[in-house]
Amino acid sequence: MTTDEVTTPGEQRGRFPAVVREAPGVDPVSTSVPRWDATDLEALAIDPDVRHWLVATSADMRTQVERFAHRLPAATVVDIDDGLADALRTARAGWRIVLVGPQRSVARARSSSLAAGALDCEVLSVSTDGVSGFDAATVDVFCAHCHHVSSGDVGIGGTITCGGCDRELAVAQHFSQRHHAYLGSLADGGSRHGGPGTTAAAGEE
Amino acid sequence: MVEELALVVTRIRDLGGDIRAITLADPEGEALPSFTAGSHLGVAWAPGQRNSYSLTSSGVMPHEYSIAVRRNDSGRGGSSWMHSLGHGACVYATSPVSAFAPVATATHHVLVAGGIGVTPVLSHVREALTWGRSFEVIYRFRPGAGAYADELSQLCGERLAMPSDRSAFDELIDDVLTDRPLGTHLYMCGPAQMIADVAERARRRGWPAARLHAEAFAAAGDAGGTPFRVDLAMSGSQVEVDSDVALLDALIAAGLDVPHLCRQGVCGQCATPVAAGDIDHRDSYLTADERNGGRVIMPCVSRAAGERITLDL
Repeated sequence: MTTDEVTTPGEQRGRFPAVVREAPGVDPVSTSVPRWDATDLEALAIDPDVRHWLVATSADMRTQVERFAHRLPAATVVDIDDGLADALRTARAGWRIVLVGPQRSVARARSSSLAAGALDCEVLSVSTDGVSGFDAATVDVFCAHCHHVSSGDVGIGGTITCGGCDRELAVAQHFSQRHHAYLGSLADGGSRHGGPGTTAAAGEE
Repeated sequence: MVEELALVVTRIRDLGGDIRAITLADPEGEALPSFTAGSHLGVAWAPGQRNSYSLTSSGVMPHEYSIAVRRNDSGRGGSSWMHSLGHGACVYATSPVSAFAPVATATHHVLVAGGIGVTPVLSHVREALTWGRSFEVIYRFRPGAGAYADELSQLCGERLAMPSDRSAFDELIDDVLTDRPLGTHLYMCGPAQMIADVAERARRRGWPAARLHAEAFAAAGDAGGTPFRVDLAMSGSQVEVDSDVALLDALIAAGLDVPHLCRQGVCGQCATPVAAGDIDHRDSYLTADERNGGRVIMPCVSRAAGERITLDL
């Protein structure tokens, strides 16, 4: 790899004001961008056969969540950022998991829940800041080049500076449930610096 | 890709209860295609007739395939034919077909076997031991018909439970359904009634269908029902289906080459397009959406819901 073909992130910054908001050929309806189950606890469908619920929530929603949990046959209420990992270790098959909080917390908690063995249909997500990932919010972005996950207030099609490699990343319509993050890649795609091969080489640093 | 294999019988062992273990190998002793736990062979026992038998042996670069066949003299004749095979006999079979595989993301596997339904469970156990997966086995059988009970006991140790009666079995199932880790998946193989019972208990304890995996041993006559007439859209001809004949057999008898394998509505090979008419879906292959769509039928078990149906054949 020759480094002189790769522009430094500093040189790239601010150079790409016109960002394509929708990737050509990508149908917004079928992308992996999250569509949350509800924005209000009261709107959740409650399966009467489920005997135990694990409810994880952010501190500001705690009172409302406790009231909701009171209506369930049995429930464990934990903190979405600090208490969920322990609770998942003792959770049983047949339970349901309800996640209540801002999108980024819900996405992270959803990722941990699936990793612990929960199925997609067993995790109910209630977002308090937007009905879907198309609404701007604080989100995680996975860098395609250095694999660092950065957080920031950015929407799909926007740009964010990677906290790991300082590259300017364009946020794609691709959301990884496993990484609980949007895919971010070099905002100019490397096209003016010698074609796709150049970008791939930069990603292997 | 399913291919046709020529195999020879290398070992025969009677397991009691009319169950015979048959081991097959390549005639030249070559390695056979590998398979995942829960796979079966489609063994040809007459022209156009195949029976599916679960593989009980290890699937990693195998040099032999072992299956177990329960003799059923009131069946269509496949199991009797299998029992007539001697040492060195030649058998044609499909390469292994996977329709009951372990779920890779499961954190714990509960394997429930009823009677001869123990056969795929045996290969699940071997694979779980090879890869160090967490598992347990619940095996229920009639007195004297516990095929592979000793072998399973040696393989599983404490992880095997063999409840002696129905209430002990139900109690154990309820315990499993109430108190197993979040990522547990449950696999059932045995009589259709046992599977339906366990599935209902699971549903009442909040288990989604996606945690349950089943391979049913359909009873003979399940494909029968009221007689109906089939209109064939392509050829313009008609086929009458009598009450005791499966739609698949009626189509084959009429000279149509309908691919098929399991004859239990499980494998999906015989999927046939429907142009018009209501369907009595009896398979476990199609999704709910496909059923409601009414555009495809599994003729090995399913029938017309009315007096007529039109197939795109």
